Amino acid sequence: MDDSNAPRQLIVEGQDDRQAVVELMRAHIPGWPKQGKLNAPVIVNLGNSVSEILATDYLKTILKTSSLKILGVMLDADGGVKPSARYDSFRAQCEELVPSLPKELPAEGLIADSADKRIGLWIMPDNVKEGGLETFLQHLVQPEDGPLWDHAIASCLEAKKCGAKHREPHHVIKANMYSFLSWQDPPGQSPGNAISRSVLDPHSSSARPFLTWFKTLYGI
Amino acid sequence: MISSLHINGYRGFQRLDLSGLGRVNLLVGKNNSGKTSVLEAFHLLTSRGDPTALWQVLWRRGERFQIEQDPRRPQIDVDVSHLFNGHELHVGSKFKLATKNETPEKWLTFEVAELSPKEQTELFGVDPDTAGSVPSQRFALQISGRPTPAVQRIALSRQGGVSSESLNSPHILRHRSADPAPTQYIATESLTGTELIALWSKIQLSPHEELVLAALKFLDEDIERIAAQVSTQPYYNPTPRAGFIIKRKGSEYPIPLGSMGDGMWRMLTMAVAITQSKGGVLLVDEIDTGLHYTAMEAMWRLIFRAATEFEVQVFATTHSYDCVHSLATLCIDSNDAKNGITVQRIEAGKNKAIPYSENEIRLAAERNIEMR
Repeated sequence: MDDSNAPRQLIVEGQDDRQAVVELMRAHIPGWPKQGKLNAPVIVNLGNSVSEILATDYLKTILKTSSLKILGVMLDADGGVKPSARYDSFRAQCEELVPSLPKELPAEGLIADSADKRIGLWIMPDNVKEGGLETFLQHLVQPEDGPLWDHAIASCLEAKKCGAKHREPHHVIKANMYSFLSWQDPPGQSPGNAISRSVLDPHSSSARPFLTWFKTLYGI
Repeated sequence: MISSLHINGYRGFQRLDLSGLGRVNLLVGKNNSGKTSVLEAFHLLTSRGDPTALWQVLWRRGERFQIEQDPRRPQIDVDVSHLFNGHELHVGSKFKLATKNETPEKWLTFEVAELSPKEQTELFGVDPDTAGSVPSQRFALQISGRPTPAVQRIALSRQGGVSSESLNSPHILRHRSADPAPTQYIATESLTGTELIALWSKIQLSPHEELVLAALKFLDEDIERIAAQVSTQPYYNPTPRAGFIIKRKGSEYPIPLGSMGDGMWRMLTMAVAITQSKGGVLLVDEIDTGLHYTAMEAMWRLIFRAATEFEVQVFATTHSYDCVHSLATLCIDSNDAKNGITVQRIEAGKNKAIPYSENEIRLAAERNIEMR
C-alpha cells in the first residue's frame, strides 16, 4: 500500500528493469539509500508486462491516486513493436488526464504536465530504436571488456548453429548480455548487480540521456 | 436515478460537482473533506427541502442552541447559519443544490430573506418593548426549487434559529404537491431500537422480511428468525439496542439482537431502511461502522441486491480501505455490463469529485492502488 501512495513513482516491466534503474540511480543521486526503498526519492514498482501496464484504465487509475504527483513509465520496444506504436497506446491511456501530451514521443523522453500531475515515458533503449533494457545496457560494457563482449556476440552466433533457440532480433542482444554476465565474478549476476559492481559502468556517457530524463522528470 | 449533483455555497463547498453517479455510490476523501455534507445535500434535495429533513440535518450535527424561556420546558432551536458557506447569515446568503442530465432537472435553493414589518407583526405580534419604534431586522429562509418545495418560507428567530414549533406553525405556507422521493438517512450512530421497531412494524410478515433475514444471515448463517419484542414492562429506560430477538439454529431460546454485536445491528438497520426507501434514496454515513473487514463483501452484495430489487439509489461514505476495495467484488462479476457502481473522491480545493468507474475500481483492488 505504501508503494502505491508514494508521491514519485516509476513503473517498469520486470525485476531486472527495476534493479537496473535503482542501481543506476544509486550511483548518481546522492541521498538514494544504499539499501532498500525506504526514503528512496522515487519508488520503482513492477507492472509485470507491457500489456498489463497499458491495459485499459490502468494508468488512469494510478494517476488518480491523490498522493501521487509524478508518474514515470519505462517500457521496452520489443516484440516487433516500434517505439512510436508503444507511445500511441500510452498516449491513448493518458490523454484524458494529461491533455498536453505531444503527438510524437520526443527523442529525449516524454515529460508532460497536467494541472496537478506530471507524467513521463521512456522507451528503452533510446525512444527511437527497437530493443529493450539490454540494448541500452550493452553500451555500458567497460572498454577493457571489449574482447569479452565481442566473444559473447560470437558465441551466441555459434550457439545458433548448435540449435540455440533465441530468435532474431530482440532476443539476440539478451543472449549476448547474459552470456557476458555469466563470465563475470561471480558468474550470472543480474544486470542490476553488474551495475552496482561497475561491471556495467553507470557513469558511461551512454547512460546520460536516460539519467537526464529521470532527473528532470522527478526534479532531483 | 440521480446521475449528477451540483452544490453551490453549501457548508464548506463554494462549488462541488459529482457526475457519473450510479446505483451504488461510495464517497471517500480525507477527514473534513465534506463527505457528510454531500450526504446531507442529497437528503435535502430528495426531500425537497422539507423542514423535517432540515431539522434532522442540523440536529445530527449538534448545531443547536437552547432558548431559556421556561426552564421546565427548554426550547431548543436549530442553528441554520452553518449551512451557508462562510457560516454567515445575512440577506442574500444562499446555497443551491441541483441535479443535471435528468428530465426534468431538479434543484433546490435556500436563501436568507428579510421579513417585512407586516409579516413580523403577523408572526410575532407587536413587541411591547419596541412598539412604535423601528422594528428590528428579522430573517426568514426562502426555499425555492423544482419540484416545488413543500414549505417555502420559514421565519428565523432573532438568533437565526428555527424552532420545532415554527416548523408546525400555521403561518408557514405549505404546498400540496406529490410526495418527495422516500429518503432514509443512516448516521454513524445507528437508529435506536425504538426507531428501528417503528420501521420494522411496516415490514414484518411481509415479503420484505425475507430480505432482512438474508441480511443477517450474511453475518451469521445460523440465524433462523427475527422478531420485534413487545414489552409488557412499563417503558422505563429503553437501552439503545432493545427490541429485537433472534432465533439461532441449535439454541432453544431466542436471544436479544443487541447481544450479537454492532455489525448485526447495522446490517439490520440498512436492510430495513432499504425496504422503506423504495424508488428513492438511501444515505449511509460511514457504512463500514461495526463491520469486520471480512464482512464487507457480504454487506456490499446485500446492498447491491436490495438496491436493485427495490430501485433504491445508495450513497455511502467510508474511510476504510477494506470497505472501498471490497466494492470491487461487485465490479468483477460482469466486466462489460454497467452495474452502476462508482467511487467518488472528494478533495478539498477541487470543484469536481474524482470518479472511479467499475473497471477502475476493479483494477485498483487487484493492483493495490489507493482510491481514498
